Amino acid sequence: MSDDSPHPPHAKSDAEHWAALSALVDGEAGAQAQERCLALWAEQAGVRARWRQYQLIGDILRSRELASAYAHDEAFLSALRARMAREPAVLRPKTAVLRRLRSWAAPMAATAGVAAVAGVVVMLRTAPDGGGAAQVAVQVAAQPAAAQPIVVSAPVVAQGLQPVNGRLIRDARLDRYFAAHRQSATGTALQMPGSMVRSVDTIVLEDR
Amino acid sequence: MSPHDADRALVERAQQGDARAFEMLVVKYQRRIERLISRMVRDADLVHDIAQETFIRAYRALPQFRGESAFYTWLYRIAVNTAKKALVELKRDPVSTESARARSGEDDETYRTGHELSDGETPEALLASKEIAATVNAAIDALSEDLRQAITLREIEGLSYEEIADVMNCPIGTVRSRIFRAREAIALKLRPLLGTREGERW
Repeated sequence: MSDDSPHPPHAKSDAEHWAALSALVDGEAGAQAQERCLALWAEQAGVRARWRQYQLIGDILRSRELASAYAHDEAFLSALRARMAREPAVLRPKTAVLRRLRSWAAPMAATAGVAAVAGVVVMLRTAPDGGGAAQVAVQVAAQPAAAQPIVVSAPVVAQGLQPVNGRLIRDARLDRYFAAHRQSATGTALQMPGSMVRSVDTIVLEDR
Repeated sequence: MSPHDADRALVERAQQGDARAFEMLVVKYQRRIERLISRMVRDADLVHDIAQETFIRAYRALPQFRGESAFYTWLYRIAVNTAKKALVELKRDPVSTESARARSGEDDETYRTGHELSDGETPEALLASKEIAATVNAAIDALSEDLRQAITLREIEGLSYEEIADVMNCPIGTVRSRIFRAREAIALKLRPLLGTREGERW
């Protein structure tokens, strides 16, 4: 690396690094190349300089105006970095995890619905007191299918599972994940007090 | 390939907490965001502050970005809203912002067309900008036809490597190489100009 940083102990040559950076500019770098560029970004001013040069070239090709005196990138980024350091960490649940959750959430909901109906039927047929069975059936039917995981239904009890105080014990880690995701989805997790941030939320709503 | 697609990997990494990826996006869009804001606000210091605020708001709101619009479109809206809000506050609090307001002029004059000098932008800086643009364009003209066509199709037409490979009837690896070589050739001419500007560390 010839610019202004010591050579890192990477196997790839400078030209390969620059070529990977150029591909990343265009969104055409593979996952490994992305990782390498990000690692070098943190380590070497030369990488940051080239990224700026490549971006500046593209900007000027699209508009001469973008070669303006406002291109004081390093100072701008330094100031922004100091502010970012005071911000809470950005974290969004990984898409892959969400996809997996969604993939089993729909069948689970359907299964829960079927189980609820089956439970009602079983109770109606087996309860010694017809009036009591009808009452339980109404209670079960009143629960939406999505709420089934936290409701102790008659079929579960019938299968021998013993709930604690009328509720099943759930995995606390899953609860925390859902809570974080709900906050993320509704925009409350990172919402800061003050009017400046409220207008950002407005923008996000428009985006949806 | 749309700009959205080009940003997807970096945006996803930034959403997962990678500040380096967000910094790369900042460097990519800083000039465009500052130009956008400078069309609404004349004061150079205020443009800088609003641009900083724009990126901070974007950073905070990253988890809510769904990728349904291009990242730049989303960022653009944040910048416009931030600038509008700053202008409203400028009117509401004229004591603390009197000097800035005086430089900003009347409402109708806060919107600029064309590249006029804004406050804080010196004639020397404008001259340097013109020299940079001229150097880039001269470097483009000096490229071989293959390199010029490859980088033009990518940067101006916004085609993906695959599409450029189709147009130029060559493998994608060749496209990648030509675009890289074109950038390096232009950057070589550009570097002396950038290195002499305000002691910036390029």
